[in-house]
Amino acid sequence: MATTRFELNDDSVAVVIGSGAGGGVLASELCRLGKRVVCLEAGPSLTMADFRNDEFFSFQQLTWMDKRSASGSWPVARSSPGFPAYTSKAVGGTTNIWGALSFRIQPHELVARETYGEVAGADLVDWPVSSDELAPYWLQAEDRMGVTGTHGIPRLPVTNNYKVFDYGARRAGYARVANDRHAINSRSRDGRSHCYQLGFCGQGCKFGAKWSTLYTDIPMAEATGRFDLRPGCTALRIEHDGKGRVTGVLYAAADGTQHFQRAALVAVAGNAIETPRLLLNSASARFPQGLANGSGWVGRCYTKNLNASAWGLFEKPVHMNHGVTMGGSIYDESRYDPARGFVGGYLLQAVQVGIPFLAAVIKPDGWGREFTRFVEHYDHLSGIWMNGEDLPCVNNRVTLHPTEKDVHGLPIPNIHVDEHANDVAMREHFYGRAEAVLRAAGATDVMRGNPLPSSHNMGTCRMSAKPDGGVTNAFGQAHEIPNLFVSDGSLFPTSTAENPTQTIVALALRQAEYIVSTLG
Amino acid sequence: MKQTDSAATGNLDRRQFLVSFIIATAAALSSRSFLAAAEPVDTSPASADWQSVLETMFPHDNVDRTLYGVPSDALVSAAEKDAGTRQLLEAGWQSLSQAAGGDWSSATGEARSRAIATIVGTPLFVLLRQTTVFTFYGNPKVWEVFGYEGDAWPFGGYLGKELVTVDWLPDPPAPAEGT
Repeated sequence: MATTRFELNDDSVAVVIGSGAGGGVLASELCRLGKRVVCLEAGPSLTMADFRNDEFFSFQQLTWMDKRSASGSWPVARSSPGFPAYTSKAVGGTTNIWGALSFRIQPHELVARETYGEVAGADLVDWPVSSDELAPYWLQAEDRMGVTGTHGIPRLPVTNNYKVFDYGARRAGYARVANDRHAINSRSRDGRSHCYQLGFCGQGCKFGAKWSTLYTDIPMAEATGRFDLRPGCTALRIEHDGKGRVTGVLYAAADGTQHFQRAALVAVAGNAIETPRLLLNSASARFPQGLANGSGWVGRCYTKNLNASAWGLFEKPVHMNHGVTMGGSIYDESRYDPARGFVGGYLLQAVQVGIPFLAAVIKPDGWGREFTRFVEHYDHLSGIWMNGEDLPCVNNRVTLHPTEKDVHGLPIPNIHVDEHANDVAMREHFYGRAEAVLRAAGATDVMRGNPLPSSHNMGTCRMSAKPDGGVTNAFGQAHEIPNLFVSDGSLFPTSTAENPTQTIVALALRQAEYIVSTLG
Repeated sequence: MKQTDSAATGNLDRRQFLVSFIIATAAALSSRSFLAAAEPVDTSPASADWQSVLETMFPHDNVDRTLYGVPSDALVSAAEKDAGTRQLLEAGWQSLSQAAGGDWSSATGEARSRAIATIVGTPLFVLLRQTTVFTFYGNPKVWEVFGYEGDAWPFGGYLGKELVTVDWLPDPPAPAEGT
């Protein structure tokens, strides 16, 4: 395909920063609707052939390794202080490594403040967009991503791990249990293969069966002839004019040279850590707190979904690695039920990892027989993952590090999280319930896995109905700067029990429509 | 993209890569200023010494002992090549020996375990653990013993092959609509 190139001084283009679930989808939709787009992607451009079924190799190949720091009372600041989040740096962003569970948010979660009431120490708000308003975009997203159990798309076949999970779940009293909602082709669809069950969803799908913008939205955008993708290009700073409108983006190319791309509008989709960091690093005399940050909300209320895991040891073999990484979900605990001792809810999800990740990260301090007997019975293990709603708290935030700089001389991001008591209570509840499920299926022993650096980064540029309550309006448009947009999970006012990707896609589709209808 | 060669795939001299990995890890840990100035010692711990430590930390009765030699050899090579790594390892060896009652090699298994418990979370522990994770738990020969097949690409995935081998549980019921 002929490569489209726009001039650096072409101020009619839209610049989209990032090519993952938010940026990739927004860019391809804008192109489809007639806009011309330059996409700056910090990572390299890979193909399915480059991916390998090798956890350590793939981790080095696909992970965002740029320096970050962590502080606060959360477990990750202690176990992984230099690597507080697990995101991807490549064309396609974190859709390269996601597990592909794809949900709608429950209506009551979008009005968390109204439903949960005042929770001391938390900054709960309602989303400025309702379930009814999002519904048509979720519907589009499910079709676009090929989500099983929607649009007549059959479920994936049951795996070993799911079979154990489902049996234990029902014996433990759960009713809403399913191997559904995978954005993974159960049959060939949309020019992509069906899933062959390699079991390496997190290492880049070598069949392209798992939805990733790398081989869906990016080529769709390229086919329009209106898309200029620039891999290896790191956005350093967004500039603005005397009227307070953004004029373009200063970026560093792969060879280290710096360029300024002029723009009619800029959309930032660098993940909820890099997005606020870029806005903060773009501070100017007119916007001394950073772009779009007059209200002071940029970087605040960082949420990441609560994660944890539990691993059951069985007398009989399981071979959990035979098939997709995330097998399916128990939905029962995602309900609102403060009688459990916490507000918000969580999903339990069948999960498998290989021996390298099991040994490396599930128990970062694990040693001795207590640890090794689980690893050496690898083929007798079954895993359960937690995805829960952590509460937004104003001081849990991404800030610029006061002294540490990156290779471009810009401050690195620091992520500070002090866990809310609600988060701790929910995680303890999960450990108890996961153990009950595993034992109900026959596990003789259970190992708790530590909370890990999250791939579900959210909240740091929250949408709000009023300008003083957040960073953008309900369409991701900065309250302060009409031609500046945020287009990733940063927008989420609350984190919800559901994995965020499908809603990031829905918001990007809605935003593209809004941009074209309001800015032309 | 220019692919990064990986020890895990054997594109680069594996041993050389492991040694570099250990040195880099030791340097990163030392920069956290945990490292106390070590008194010079007459003898550096040998590979067999580290192997004995690693076998205490990560005991597996059914694994060929020589597989523990990969990380312990690499630790010694890294110490020979890099002064900072040597300092961390020699100081660590001294403190471990002391914690085990003065002499690691004559200490009981119980005393060795108690000694390991005293270093959990220290730079030495992290270095030994990361080295073992990368070179022992990342070794396909170890996977074979524990029942992990690794790469599924050569045989095209588990669909239609061994996707469901659990025959000791009933099949899940048909899911209800809307779940």
